[in-house]
Amino acid sequence: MNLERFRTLAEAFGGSVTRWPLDDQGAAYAILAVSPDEAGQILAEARDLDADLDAAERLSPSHALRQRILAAAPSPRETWSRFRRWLTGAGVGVGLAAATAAGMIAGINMAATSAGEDALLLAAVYGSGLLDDSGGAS
Amino acid sequence: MPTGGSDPDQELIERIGRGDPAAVQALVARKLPRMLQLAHRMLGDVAEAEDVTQEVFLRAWKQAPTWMPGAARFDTWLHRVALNLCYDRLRRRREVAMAEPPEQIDTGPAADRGLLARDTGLRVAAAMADLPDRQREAVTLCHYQELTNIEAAALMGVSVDALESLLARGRRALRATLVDLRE
Repeated sequence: MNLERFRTLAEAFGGSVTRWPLDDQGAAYAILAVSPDEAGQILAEARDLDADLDAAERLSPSHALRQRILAAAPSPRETWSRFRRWLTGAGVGVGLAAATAAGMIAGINMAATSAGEDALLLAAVYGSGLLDDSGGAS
Repeated sequence: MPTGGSDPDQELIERIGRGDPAAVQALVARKLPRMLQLAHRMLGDVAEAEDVTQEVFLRAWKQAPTWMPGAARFDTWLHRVALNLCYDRLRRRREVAMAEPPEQIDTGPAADRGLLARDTGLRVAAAMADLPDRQREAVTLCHYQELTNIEAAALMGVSVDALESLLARGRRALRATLVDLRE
Protein backbone atom coordinates (compact mmCIF):
# COMPACT_ATOMS: atom_id res chain seq x y z
CA MET A 1 0.00 0.00 0.00
CA ASN A 2 1.20 3.51 -0.77
CA LEU A 3 -0.04 6.86 0.48
CA GLU A 4 -2.29 7.30 -2.54
CA ARG A 5 -4.12 4.05 -1.79
CA PHE A 6 -4.22 5.03 1.88
CA ARG A 7 -5.96 8.28 0.91
CA THR A 8 -8.43 6.46 -1.35
CA LEU A 9 -9.43 4.14 1.49
CA ALA A 10 -9.80 7.05 3.92
CA GLU A 11 -12.00 8.89 1.43
CA ALA A 12 -14.22 5.83 1.10
CA PHE A 13 -14.32 4.36 4.60
CA GLY A 14 -13.51 7.32 6.83
CA GLY A 15 -10.91 8.25 9.38
CA SER A 16 -10.99 5.12 11.53
CA VAL A 17 -8.78 2.34 10.19
CA THR A 18 -10.73 -0.19 12.24
CA ARG A 19 -13.69 0.42 9.89
CA TRP A 20 -11.66 -0.16 6.73
CA PRO A 21 -11.72 -3.50 4.88
CA LEU A 22 -10.06 -6.11 7.07
CA ASP A 23 -7.59 -7.06 4.33
CA ASP A 24 -6.25 -3.48 4.18
CA GLN A 25 -5.94 -2.70 7.87
CA GLY A 26 -2.51 -4.25 8.44
CA ALA A 27 -0.95 -2.39 5.50
CA ALA A 28 -2.67 0.82 6.63
CA TYR A 29 -1.06 0.63 10.06
CA ALA A 30 2.28 0.03 8.38
CA ILE A 31 1.82 3.23 6.33
CA LEU A 32 0.93 5.09 9.51
CA ALA A 33 4.15 3.88 11.08
CA VAL A 34 6.28 4.88 8.07
CA SER A 35 4.60 8.19 7.24
CA PRO A 36 2.86 9.28 10.43
CA ASP A 37 2.52 12.96 9.48
CA GLU A 38 1.01 12.57 6.01
CA ALA A 39 -1.09 9.52 6.86
CA GLY A 40 -2.21 11.12 10.11
CA GLN A 41 -3.29 14.25 8.25
CA ILE A 42 -5.31 12.16 5.78
CA LEU A 43 -7.08 10.39 8.63
CA ALA A 44 -7.75 13.67 10.45
CA GLU A 45 -9.46 15.09 7.35
CA ALA A 46 -11.59 11.97 6.99
CA ARG A 47 -12.50 12.10 10.69
CA ASP A 48 -13.80 15.65 10.24
CA LEU A 49 -16.39 14.34 7.80
CA ASP A 50 -17.15 11.38 10.09
CA ALA A 51 -17.89 13.84 12.89
CA ASP A 52 -20.17 15.88 10.63
CA LEU A 53 -22.06 12.74 9.61
CA ASP A 54 -22.43 11.77 13.26
CA ALA A 55 -24.00 15.14 13.97
CA ALA A 56 -27.03 14.19 11.88
CA GLU A 57 -30.15 13.46 13.88
CA ARG A 58 -30.33 9.90 15.18
CA LEU A 59 -34.03 9.16 15.17
CA SER A 60 -35.28 7.31 18.24
CA PRO A 61 -38.27 4.98 17.90
CA SER A 62 -41.41 6.55 19.31
CA HIS A 63 -43.46 4.76 21.92
CA ALA A 64 -46.40 4.67 19.49
CA LEU A 65 -44.33 2.97 16.77
CA ARG A 66 -42.99 0.41 19.21
CA GLN A 67 -46.51 -0.34 20.43
CA ARG A 68 -47.87 -0.75 16.89
CA ILE A 69 -45.08 -3.18 16.06
CA LEU A 70 -45.51 -5.17 19.27
CA ALA A 71 -49.29 -5.29 18.81
CA ALA A 72 -48.86 -6.96 15.42
CA ALA A 73 -46.44 -9.59 16.70
CA PRO A 74 -47.48 -13.22 17.02
CA SER A 75 -48.54 -14.16 20.56
CA PRO A 76 -49.02 -17.61 22.13
CA ARG A 77 -52.81 -17.06 22.19
CA GLU A 78 -52.77 -16.12 18.52
CA THR A 79 -50.59 -19.10 17.68
CA TRP A 80 -53.03 -21.38 19.54
CA SER A 81 -56.14 -19.80 18.02
CA ARG A 82 -54.59 -20.04 14.58
CA PHE A 83 -54.05 -23.76 15.23
CA ARG A 84 -57.63 -24.08 16.56
CA ARG A 85 -59.00 -22.28 13.49
CA TRP A 86 -57.02 -24.66 11.34
CA LEU A 87 -58.44 -27.64 13.23
CA THR A 88 -61.99 -26.23 13.02
CA GLY A 89 -61.57 -25.42 9.36
CA ALA A 90 -60.19 -28.87 8.67
CA GLY A 91 -63.11 -30.46 10.56
CA VAL A 92 -65.73 -28.42 8.72
CA GLY A 93 -63.94 -29.14 5.48
CA VAL A 94 -63.93 -32.86 6.11
CA GLY A 95 -67.63 -32.81 7.10
CA LEU A 96 -68.69 -30.79 4.09
CA ALA A 97 -66.64 -32.91 1.78
CA ALA A 98 -68.07 -36.10 3.23
CA ALA A 99 -71.63 -34.77 2.91
CA THR A 100 -70.97 -33.57 -0.60
CA ALA A 101 -69.41 -36.85 -1.58
CA ALA A 102 -72.29 -38.85 -0.03
CA GLY A 103 -74.85 -36.72 -1.85
CA MET A 104 -72.97 -37.06 -5.07
CA ILE A 105 -72.68 -40.83 -4.69
CA ALA A 106 -76.38 -41.09 -3.88
CA GLY A 107 -77.21 -39.03 -6.92
CA ILE A 108 -74.93 -41.13 -9.03
CA ASN A 109 -76.62 -44.30 -7.78
CA MET A 110 -80.05 -42.91 -8.67
CA ALA A 111 -79.10 -41.82 -12.15
CA ALA A 112 -77.00 -43.24 -14.84
CA THR A 113 -73.36 -42.37 -14.34
CA SER A 114 -72.00 -40.05 -16.91
CA ALA A 115 -68.56 -38.73 -17.56
CA GLY A 116 -69.71 -35.29 -16.48
CA GLU A 117 -70.89 -36.55 -13.08
CA ASP A 118 -67.62 -38.38 -12.53
CA ALA A 119 -65.81 -35.17 -13.14
CA LEU A 120 -68.11 -33.36 -10.72
CA LEU A 121 -67.53 -35.98 -8.03
CA LEU A 122 -63.78 -35.76 -8.44
CA ALA A 123 -63.95 -31.99 -8.31
CA ALA A 124 -65.97 -32.12 -5.10
CA VAL A 125 -63.50 -34.45 -3.42
CA TYR A 126 -60.38 -32.64 -4.63
CA GLY A 127 -61.87 -29.22 -4.00
CA SER A 128 -62.65 -30.09 -0.38
CA GLY A 129 -58.96 -30.35 0.39
CA LEU A 130 -59.30 -33.99 1.49
CA LEU A 131 -56.46 -34.88 -0.78
CA ASP A 132 -54.47 -31.77 0.03
CA ASP A 133 -51.24 -32.72 1.76
CA SER A 134 -49.93 -29.20 2.18
CA GLY A 135 -51.39 -28.68 5.62
CA GLY A 136 -54.39 -26.81 4.30
CA ALA A 137 -54.17 -24.02 6.83
CA SER A 138 -53.63 -21.18 4.40
CA MET B 1 -23.97 -8.32 10.26
CA PRO B 2 -21.47 -10.96 9.23
CA THR B 3 -22.31 -13.12 6.28
CA GLY B 4 -20.78 -16.35 7.52
CA GLY B 5 -21.11 -18.54 10.60
CA SER B 6 -24.14 -18.99 12.79
CA ASP B 7 -26.95 -16.48 12.84
CA PRO B 8 -27.03 -14.62 16.18
CA ASP B 9 -30.77 -13.98 15.71
CA GLN B 10 -31.70 -17.60 14.94
CA GLU B 11 -32.77 -18.60 18.44
CA LEU B 12 -34.91 -15.48 18.82
CA ILE B 13 -36.62 -16.10 15.50
CA GLU B 14 -37.47 -19.68 16.45
CA ARG B 15 -38.98 -18.48 19.74
CA ILE B 16 -40.95 -15.76 17.94
CA GLY B 17 -42.29 -18.41 15.59
CA ARG B 18 -43.66 -20.20 18.66
CA GLY B 19 -45.27 -16.97 19.88
CA ASP B 20 -42.82 -16.20 22.71
CA PRO B 21 -43.54 -12.60 23.84
CA ALA B 22 -40.12 -12.17 25.49
CA ALA B 23 -38.43 -13.02 22.19
CA VAL B 24 -40.62 -10.51 20.38
CA GLN B 25 -39.60 -7.82 22.86
CA ALA B 26 -35.94 -8.75 22.51
CA LEU B 27 -35.98 -8.63 18.71
CA VAL B 28 -37.76 -5.27 18.71
CA ALA B 29 -35.21 -3.87 21.18
CA ARG B 30 -32.37 -5.21 19.04
CA LYS B 31 -33.57 -4.26 15.57
CA LEU B 32 -36.08 -1.41 15.78
CA PRO B 33 -33.54 1.43 16.21
CA ARG B 34 -31.38 0.04 13.38
CA MET B 35 -34.24 -0.40 10.95
CA LEU B 36 -35.72 3.00 11.76
CA GLN B 37 -32.36 4.67 11.29
CA LEU B 38 -31.78 2.89 7.99
CA ALA B 39 -35.17 3.99 6.65
CA HIS B 40 -34.73 7.52 7.97
CA ARG B 41 -31.31 7.93 6.33
CA MET B 42 -32.62 6.58 3.04
CA LEU B 43 -35.89 8.53 2.97
CA GLY B 44 -35.15 11.63 5.07
CA ASP B 45 -38.72 11.66 6.35
CA VAL B 46 -39.79 10.55 9.82
CA ALA B 47 -43.34 9.45 8.97
CA GLU B 48 -42.24 7.47 5.93
CA ALA B 49 -39.37 5.92 7.87
CA GLU B 50 -41.81 4.81 10.59
CA ASP B 51 -44.18 3.33 7.99
CA VAL B 52 -41.35 1.38 6.37
CA THR B 53 -40.07 0.17 9.73
CA GLN B 54 -43.51 -1.03 10.77
CA GLU B 55 -43.89 -2.91 7.49
CA VAL B 56 -40.45 -4.51 7.93
CA PHE B 57 -41.55 -5.91 11.30
CA LEU B 58 -44.93 -7.05 9.96
CA ARG B 59 -43.04 -9.08 7.38
CA ALA B 60 -40.67 -10.35 10.05
CA TRP B 61 -43.60 -11.60 12.16
CA LYS B 62 -45.03 -13.41 9.13
CA GLN B 63 -41.65 -14.85 8.21
CA ALA B 64 -40.62 -16.02 11.69
CA PRO B 65 -42.66 -19.28 11.89
CA THR B 66 -41.26 -20.53 8.59
CA TRP B 67 -37.77 -18.97 8.72
CA MET B 68 -35.20 -21.38 7.36
CA PRO B 69 -31.68 -20.84 8.71
CA GLY B 70 -28.79 -21.02 6.30
CA ALA B 71 -29.92 -19.11 3.26
CA ALA B 72 -29.24 -15.68 4.76
CA ARG B 73 -28.87 -14.15 8.16
CA PHE B 74 -32.04 -12.67 9.55
CA ASP B 75 -30.43 -9.23 9.93
CA THR B 76 -29.38 -9.32 6.27
CA TRP B 77 -32.92 -10.25 5.28
CA LEU B 78 -34.32 -7.38 7.38
CA HIS B 79 -31.95 -4.92 5.73
CA ARG B 80 -32.93 -6.21 2.30
CA VAL B 81 -36.66 -5.87 3.04
CA ALA B 82 -36.16 -2.35 4.43
CA LEU B 83 -34.08 -1.24 1.46
CA ASN B 84 -36.61 -2.63 -1.02
CA LEU B 85 -39.42 -0.77 0.74
CA CYS B 86 -37.34 2.42 0.75
CA TYR B 87 -36.62 2.10 -2.97
CA ASP B 88 -40.33 1.54 -3.66
CA ARG B 89 -41.07 4.84 -1.95
CA LEU B 90 -38.22 6.69 -3.65
CA ARG B 91 -39.49 5.41 -7.01
CA ARG B 92 -43.03 6.56 -6.21
CA ARG B 93 -41.69 9.98 -5.22
CA ARG B 94 -39.95 10.33 -8.56
CA GLU B 95 -43.09 9.29 -10.43
CA VAL B 96 -45.18 11.84 -8.53
CA ALA B 97 -42.54 14.51 -9.06
CA MET B 98 -42.56 13.84 -12.81
CA ALA B 99 -46.35 13.83 -12.98
CA GLU B 100 -46.75 16.90 -10.79
CA PRO B 101 -43.64 19.08 -11.02
CA PRO B 102 -43.39 21.53 -8.14
CA GLU B 103 -44.54 25.05 -8.96
CA GLN B 104 -41.52 26.65 -7.37
CA ILE B 105 -38.08 25.13 -7.33
CA ASP B 106 -35.45 26.42 -4.94
CA THR B 107 -32.70 27.62 -7.25
CA GLY B 108 -30.91 29.76 -4.69
CA PRO B 109 -27.21 29.22 -4.25
CA ALA B 110 -26.19 26.53 -1.82
CA ALA B 111 -24.56 29.09 0.44
CA ASP B 112 -27.91 30.89 0.89
CA ARG B 113 -29.68 27.68 1.74
CA GLY B 114 -26.86 26.92 4.17
CA LEU B 115 -27.45 30.17 6.01
CA LEU B 116 -31.06 29.16 6.57
CA ALA B 117 -30.12 25.74 7.98
CA ARG B 118 -27.59 26.61 10.65
CA ASP B 119 -27.93 23.39 12.54
CA THR B 120 -25.22 20.95 11.51
CA GLY B 121 -27.52 17.98 11.82
CA LEU B 122 -30.05 19.48 9.43
CA ARG B 123 -27.28 20.42 7.03
CA VAL B 124 -25.94 16.88 7.04
CA ALA B 125 -29.41 15.40 6.56
CA ALA B 126 -30.00 17.73 3.62
CA ALA B 127 -26.62 16.84 2.11
CA MET B 128 -27.41 13.15 2.47
CA ALA B 129 -30.80 13.66 0.83
CA ASP B 130 -29.10 15.35 -2.14
CA LEU B 131 -26.86 12.35 -2.83
CA PRO B 132 -27.79 9.92 -5.60
CA ASP B 133 -29.70 6.99 -4.09
CA ARG B 134 -26.93 4.42 -4.46
CA GLN B 135 -24.29 6.68 -2.92
CA ARG B 136 -26.64 7.48 -0.04
CA GLU B 137 -27.29 3.75 0.41
CA ALA B 138 -23.55 3.00 0.50
CA VAL B 139 -22.81 5.73 3.05
CA THR B 140 -25.81 4.69 5.15
CA LEU B 141 -24.85 1.02 5.23
CA CYS B 142 -21.15 1.56 5.93
CA HIS B 143 -21.13 4.65 8.14
CA TYR B 144 -24.44 4.57 9.98
CA GLN B 145 -25.29 0.85 9.97
CA GLU B 146 -21.60 -0.01 10.46
CA LEU B 147 -21.64 -2.91 8.04
CA THR B 148 -18.36 -4.17 6.62
CA ASN B 149 -17.54 -3.55 2.98
CA ILE B 150 -18.30 -7.19 2.18
CA GLU B 151 -21.70 -7.11 3.90
CA ALA B 152 -22.71 -3.80 2.32
CA ALA B 153 -21.56 -4.85 -1.15
CA ALA B 154 -23.54 -8.10 -0.86
CA LEU B 155 -26.68 -6.27 0.20
CA MET B 156 -26.35 -3.79 -2.65
CA GLY B 157 -25.54 -6.49 -5.17
CA VAL B 158 -22.26 -4.87 -6.24
CA SER B 159 -18.57 -5.76 -6.01
CA VAL B 160 -16.48 -4.44 -3.13
CA ASP B 161 -14.63 -2.24 -5.63
CA ALA B 162 -17.90 -0.74 -6.86
CA LEU B 163 -18.96 -0.15 -3.26
CA GLU B 164 -15.66 1.61 -2.56
CA SER B 165 -16.24 3.85 -5.55
CA LEU B 166 -19.81 4.68 -4.47
CA LEU B 167 -18.59 5.49 -0.96
CA ALA B 168 -15.73 7.67 -2.14
CA ARG B 169 -17.96 9.65 -4.50
CA GLY B 170 -20.65 10.01 -1.87
CA ARG B 171 -18.28 11.18 0.83
CA ARG B 172 -16.50 13.59 -1.57
CA ALA B 173 -19.87 15.14 -2.45
CA LEU B 174 -20.79 15.41 1.24
CA ARG B 175 -17.47 17.05 2.08
CA ALA B 176 -17.91 19.56 -0.75
CA THR B 177 -21.44 20.41 0.41
CA LEU B 178 -20.48 20.69 4.06
CA VAL B 179 -17.12 22.43 3.56
CA ASP B 180 -18.33 25.68 5.14
CA LEU B 181 -18.92 23.87 8.44
CA ARG B 182 -15.14 23.72 8.78
CA GLU B 183 -14.48 27.37 7.91
